Amino acid sequence: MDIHQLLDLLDKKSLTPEENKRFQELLSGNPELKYVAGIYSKVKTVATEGSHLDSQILGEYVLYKNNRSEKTETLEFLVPKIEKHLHECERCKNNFATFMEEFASVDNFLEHRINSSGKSGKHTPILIKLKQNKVIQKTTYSIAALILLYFSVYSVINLVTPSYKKDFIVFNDTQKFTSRGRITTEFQKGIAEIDNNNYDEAIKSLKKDIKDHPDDKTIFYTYFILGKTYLEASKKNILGIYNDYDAEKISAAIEAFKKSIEKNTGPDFQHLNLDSYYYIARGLLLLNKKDEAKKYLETVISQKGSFKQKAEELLKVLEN
Amino acid sequence: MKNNSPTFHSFSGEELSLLLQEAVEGNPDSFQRLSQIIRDICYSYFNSKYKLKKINSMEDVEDLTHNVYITFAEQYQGINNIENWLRRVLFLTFINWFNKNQKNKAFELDESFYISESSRGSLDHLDIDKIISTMNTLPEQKQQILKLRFWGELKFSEIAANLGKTEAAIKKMFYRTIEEIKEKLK
Repeated sequence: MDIHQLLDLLDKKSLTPEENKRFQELLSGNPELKYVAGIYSKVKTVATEGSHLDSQILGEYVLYKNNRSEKTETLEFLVPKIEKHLHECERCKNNFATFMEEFASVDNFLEHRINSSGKSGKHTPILIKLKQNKVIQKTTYSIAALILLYFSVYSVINLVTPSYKKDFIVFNDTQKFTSRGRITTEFQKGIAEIDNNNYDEAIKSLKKDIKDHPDDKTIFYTYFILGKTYLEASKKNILGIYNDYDAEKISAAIEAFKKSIEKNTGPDFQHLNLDSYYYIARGLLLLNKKDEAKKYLETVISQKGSFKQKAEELLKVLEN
Repeated sequence: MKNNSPTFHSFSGEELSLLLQEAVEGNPDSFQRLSQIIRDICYSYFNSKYKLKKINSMEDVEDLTHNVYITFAEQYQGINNIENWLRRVLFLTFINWFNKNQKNKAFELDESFYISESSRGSLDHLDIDKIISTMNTLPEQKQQILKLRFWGELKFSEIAANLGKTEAAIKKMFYRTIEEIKEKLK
């Protein structure tokens, strides 16, 4: 039981002279207890200095920030510590942003599923499962064959096309969409269509989401995804040899990004506006408006947007 | 478990509150109906996460739905507002799952800590690294107790209230955790 006595004493914030005497007695001549005291002290150091916020604490904090916490008393004590930690720890800060999005997503979802005053009823499908289009897959193989066939022509064109007009990937395979709280049928259908590379259909769904829910607080995200979809849809690949872009769609993309910035006024997703600046710059470059594009890229760099590095690389290319 | 449904229902808050009240009063039909609604709502929420590629498989969708249902069955008698309860449980269930899948370490010290401690000559790096890796292998609840006690400076009674356990159980678990670390380091 000496070990429990020792842990009891170690756990006290301060010791009375009697407790201190007992503490010294326990340690003297007992290497095992000395070792335990050493471990206790190091565990305390690690837990104090090296703890990341666990999902439960961070989740409660997100609920607290949204006035939904049921554990307010304990949290109020922890809030200054949590906020100090968030200020210093990049990983927990990112988790916090993700969790805030998730909360908005749950909130928005339940808003659609539970009517506070209305009656129960049937709705249109929330999710539409789209089958993999094997025809597209085959077409892709064919295009790949043509690319090989015309490789020499491609190489020549490749040499004369500026790098910012080549290999511009808006959506990549590993990208995971976040919903930023948008859970409407139209938004999800739009995402599913993007997944299947049906960009024109995706544009229709996203525009319908905007038309049907113009005042939703997260509608800025639909505008953002619409902008990206327009950019992707603007690509015109001629026999896999030459990349051209539809100017009308690029303009529509730029407008959508500007609208996203205009609608995204809350404090939680301001970083998304810098992403919009980056994509606007990419669109402007495709329209050969280099000077205007530079201004947007400079903003991304100065405000440390997530595309800062890519913006710096593009600026270098433009200045050479 | 329900498959992808071509349509979904929305429910009135009033209907859910009434069903909850009847279930708490011991009406088995209301309990069953409300349980089905909870399952339906959770399934469509987690399914939407799957479609957004935030949940990797339909098995996870079903597991998470089941977890919320179990929580509901355990807690329904103490629920005041079913919509608030659902909001809280859906959110916490998903983020806990999300966090587990991230496989992030719960404890780590950055380089600056080692540098400052070295300059004071106060830390044995080998030991502290071993302790960190041992702490990272502890079960989630034990990690949580260490964090709340040391980092959060909460009393055992406060930790107990947060984790829904008795103060004595938390204190016992805390001491056992220290002993467990000691044993693992041997």
